[in-house]
Amino acid sequence: MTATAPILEVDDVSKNFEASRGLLGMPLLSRKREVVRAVSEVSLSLGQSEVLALVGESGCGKSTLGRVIAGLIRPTSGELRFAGISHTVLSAAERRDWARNVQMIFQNPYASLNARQTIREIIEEPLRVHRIVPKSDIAARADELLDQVGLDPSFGKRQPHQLSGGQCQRVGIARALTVVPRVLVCDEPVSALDVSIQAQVLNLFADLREELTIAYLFISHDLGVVERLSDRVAVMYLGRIVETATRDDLFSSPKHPYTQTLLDAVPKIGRSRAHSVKVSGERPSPLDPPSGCHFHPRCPHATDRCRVEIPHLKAVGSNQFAACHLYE
Amino acid sequence: MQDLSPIAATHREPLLKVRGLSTHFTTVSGTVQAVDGVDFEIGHGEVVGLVGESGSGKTMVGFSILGLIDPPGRIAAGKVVFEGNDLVGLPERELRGLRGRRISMVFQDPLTTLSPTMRIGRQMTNVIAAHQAMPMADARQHCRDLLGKLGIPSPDERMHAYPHQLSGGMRQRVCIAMAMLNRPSLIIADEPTTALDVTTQAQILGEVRKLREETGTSFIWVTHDLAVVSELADRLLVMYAGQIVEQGSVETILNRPLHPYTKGLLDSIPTNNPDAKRLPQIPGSAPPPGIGIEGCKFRPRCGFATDTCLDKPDLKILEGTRAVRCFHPQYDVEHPLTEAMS
Repeated sequence: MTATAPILEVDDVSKNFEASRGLLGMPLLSRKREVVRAVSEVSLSLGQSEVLALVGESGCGKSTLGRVIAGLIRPTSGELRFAGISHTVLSAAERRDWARNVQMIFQNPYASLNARQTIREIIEEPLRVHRIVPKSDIAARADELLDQVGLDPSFGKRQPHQLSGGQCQRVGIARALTVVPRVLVCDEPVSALDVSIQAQVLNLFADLREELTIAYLFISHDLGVVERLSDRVAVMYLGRIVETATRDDLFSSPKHPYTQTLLDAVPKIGRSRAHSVKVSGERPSPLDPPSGCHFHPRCPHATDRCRVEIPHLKAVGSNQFAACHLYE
Repeated sequence: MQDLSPIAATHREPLLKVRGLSTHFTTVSGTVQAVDGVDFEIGHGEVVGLVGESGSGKTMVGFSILGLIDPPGRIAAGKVVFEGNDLVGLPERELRGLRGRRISMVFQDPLTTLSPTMRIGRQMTNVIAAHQAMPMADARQHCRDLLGKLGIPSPDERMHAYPHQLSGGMRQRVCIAMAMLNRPSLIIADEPTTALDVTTQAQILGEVRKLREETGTSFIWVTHDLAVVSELADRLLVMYAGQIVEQGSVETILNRPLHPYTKGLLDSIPTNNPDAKRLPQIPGSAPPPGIGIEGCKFRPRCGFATDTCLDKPDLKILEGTRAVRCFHPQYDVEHPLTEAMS
């Protein structure tokens, strides 16, 4: 962890969505207008050049939080600070500034590229929009970026459909790097890729981190990937952060019962085939989260207190925080 | 558990014997060999993991066994001998009698398997009614029991639910229950837990393990995830570009991979190398189906390739079920034979 001031701070951020009564998404058929608290009072900080992993299962709000941080959607409440400067409601111009500092890499490498543009056009556009380099240098800079992500500049002439998933993801990374961002929000950037390609892209992330002063918010459900890449980990469950810790602490001594469950559920090569599953029950609907601690219906240690009182993050180690009534 | 297989007497014969299976697709730009000469056997009660990356042909092997290949695809060559009968070229009517009764399949996406307009109970009893005469009350009871065994809480209520009212994990449990309803001797499961959360996946794997001990059903578990099959399967088949490149027991393959591809695949799993600064990576990417590669199909990405590899390697049987398709198998001298995996 870096000792310097954090580059990015998330302070008490919440994001609510109103569930519409559409035909799709059937829990939404109820008559009341319902509110999904996708992200609920989350505070995080990201150090310069730090890799913070945000882990959790589908529907826990990790992608929503990522999109809030990347400035793609507005938080319902709370504050974002970049290098100490607050950005609560972003105007169009501020939004552009934010984008110069915080960029996002998406899960689906094909869907995040314009299918009608060539790779060169995709990369040159932000260079022009943000006036990163003089016009005469745009082409050279694009070549340099392609080279940096391990693609031959000849790829510039191609279109996304002519590239493999791994190559498209490299283009997505090159496009994010055009503005020389200080923070990259990576939303499941390797989960759509095959294992052998995944390793290549993970190595690219590690290389870029050495070459550039860049911090990652790495959103993933894959704990193996997270263990490999991150300095610190934040675990999310139903919109709330339930534990944050350094990577080593989290993987060697997870404190929150949910973190323990999650680590236990990851299939591991070489583990006995008779391994018994400890986790019980299902993740509740975010539309109707349980009272008190959201995890209490599945938690083996739940007490009456957990059913009524929301636990807050408390220090449970030198750099480890858990939101659990067990640790008081 | 009594053996309901009609050929219980010939137990020494494997349940399924696939020989020289080739499935081709005719496209405008030529013939794509999605499955290219695949041989393997599945024993009674055995769980075999069929592992490969996208485009390796693993799904097509499953589809070919069940005769689910539609034009422009066709089984160009080979035999699929199941319980003593060759399924290739069997009339559709007979295949239908087999599917869902002797061999069933579980697909990756339960929402495309289940009908959105029918309650779970009706869909399930239909599966029974398609193959055997059973009083409705008994059929429903059988469905309820199976849902319960797969860890579905209050199965009675779920029988009245529509698929959209269930979570992804519950839907996949329903699909697995449906596949087991007629006590098939073989279930082909195609990435059944890939779309699920890890905690749900762990639960389902546990339930499948229990059920298979109870019923003795054989499984072909098709997946890209070596960690998942390592917790479930007895034996592994590793596929690359339409061919099986390595096979053997889970323990031997995971501890002593011989094919450079298998080795590369295992090395590139992040948790296998937590300390290495960079992950060992396989260069390049898998050839798109339809691209002809002379000799060994892994040659362009292989660090050990020589001129010998311009010839086609055969799947060489080394001992027992262990086989590798490589001229330069990577016998590891540093890591002696590891027996300790149990």
